[in-house]
Amino acid sequence: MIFAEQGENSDYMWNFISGYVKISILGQYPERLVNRALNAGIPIKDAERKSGACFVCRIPMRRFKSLRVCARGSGCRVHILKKGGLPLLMIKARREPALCLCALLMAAVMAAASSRIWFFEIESRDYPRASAESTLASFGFGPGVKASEARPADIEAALRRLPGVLTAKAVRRGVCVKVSVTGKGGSAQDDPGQASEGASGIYADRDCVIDSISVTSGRAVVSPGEAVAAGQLLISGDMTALKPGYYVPAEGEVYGRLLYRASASVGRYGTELKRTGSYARAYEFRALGRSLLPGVPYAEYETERECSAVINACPLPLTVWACRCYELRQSQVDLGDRAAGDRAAVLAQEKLFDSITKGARILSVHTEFSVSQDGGVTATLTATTLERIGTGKGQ
Amino acid sequence: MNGKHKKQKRMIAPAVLGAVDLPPEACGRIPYITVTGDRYMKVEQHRGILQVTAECVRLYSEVGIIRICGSRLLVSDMDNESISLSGCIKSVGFE
Repeated sequence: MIFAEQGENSDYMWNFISGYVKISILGQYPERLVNRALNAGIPIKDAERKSGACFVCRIPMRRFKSLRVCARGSGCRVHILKKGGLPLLMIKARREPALCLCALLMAAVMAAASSRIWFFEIESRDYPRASAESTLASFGFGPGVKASEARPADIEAALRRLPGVLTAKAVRRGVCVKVSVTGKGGSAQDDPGQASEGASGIYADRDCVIDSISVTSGRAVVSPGEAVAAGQLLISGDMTALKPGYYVPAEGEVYGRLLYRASASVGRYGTELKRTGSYARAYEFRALGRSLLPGVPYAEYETERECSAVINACPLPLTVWACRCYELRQSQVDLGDRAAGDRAAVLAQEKLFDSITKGARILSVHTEFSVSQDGGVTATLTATTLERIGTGKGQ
Repeated sequence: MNGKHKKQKRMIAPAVLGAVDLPPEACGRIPYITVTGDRYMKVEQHRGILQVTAECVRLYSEVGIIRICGSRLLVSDMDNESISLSGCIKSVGFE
């Protein structure tokens, strides 16, 4: 079936390109015309019998005249139901030359425009952006430059020549080039030996234990299993240990395990709606999914249906139920440790999940219960999550 | 006499093909039927169609009439050598 579907898809594409005609063959014995057509070499597709004397199929547009010849003397009549395909579109397009010309012109303009760079997005840290823009302009990297003349490596080399630039990275995305420039920053601007203050880095935004660290650019300062505090450096772009004055923008992913805790208390005694024992009889009317229960003398009640009858005399179908309405009142109940603990756990769980960051993967949840002197139950939930931590400097 | 001669010829050709390890359908006369599941079927080397309806398709072939029964049968592709059917195929038989 899969091969059949694939074959059909490529078939339909070819049929569309060559053009097709959907026809109906009317006659007592349309198979006779079909056999004549097959012997004449006319391929037939999607043939089915619609009714006793009507046969519908599709043939290539250019073979329709041959089919007309075959139809003579076969006792069948051929009618065109539908024409389709690229030749038909071409015929229609010939009637509107202005539209075709504009479409071709647009395609040519798009093709020419896509080979040039039109947007330069500059993101700078610790370096004046205007200076980076003017440097790019002086080297000829501006809107409209050819893509072959604005290679990312050339842009990076042009920016690194500037005295205050620590790292520069350029990435081309279609007709846009994104440039990120990092300056040396602070007093390290004149002394490359102490440029680590200006080097970019990824810092922890929360206290956690490192689970995994994957460095794309730079070097890892921490290792898995290590506990880190908020603001601690995780990945550094300072590569002076390899080569003096060598800095790169720090990039990577750091995942850590975090703990979240929430607790809630519920008193042992609570209130519940309970039956008082008294009840009243009433009739419930239901129509179109809505119900009406008039004449119940209680503010809070519970209904039990006994029997029903359908009234067909009304324009709308009406069902009448005979009910008993039992009075309910709030009364104090001893929940017991288990029920109180369950309620406290539910409340604590709501608080916990509200505090967990969206996108965090919950690894485990641990619940603890404690009973106070007055009998109330406190539930404490502790969740361990795996989240991505770490933000670049300056963000 | 002519029928006997034809039958003998029909029996000889597949035997000759078998002797040189060629498949019997290579003689160009025996229909070659491929069924994929119960949804798709291809019959090659047929001699024409006899009847096409949504429930039954009958084809001429060298070995007789091939009858395909099912529901919602649709001839998806047809030429002078092969015919492809799709739909819910229930049975294939020879008359």
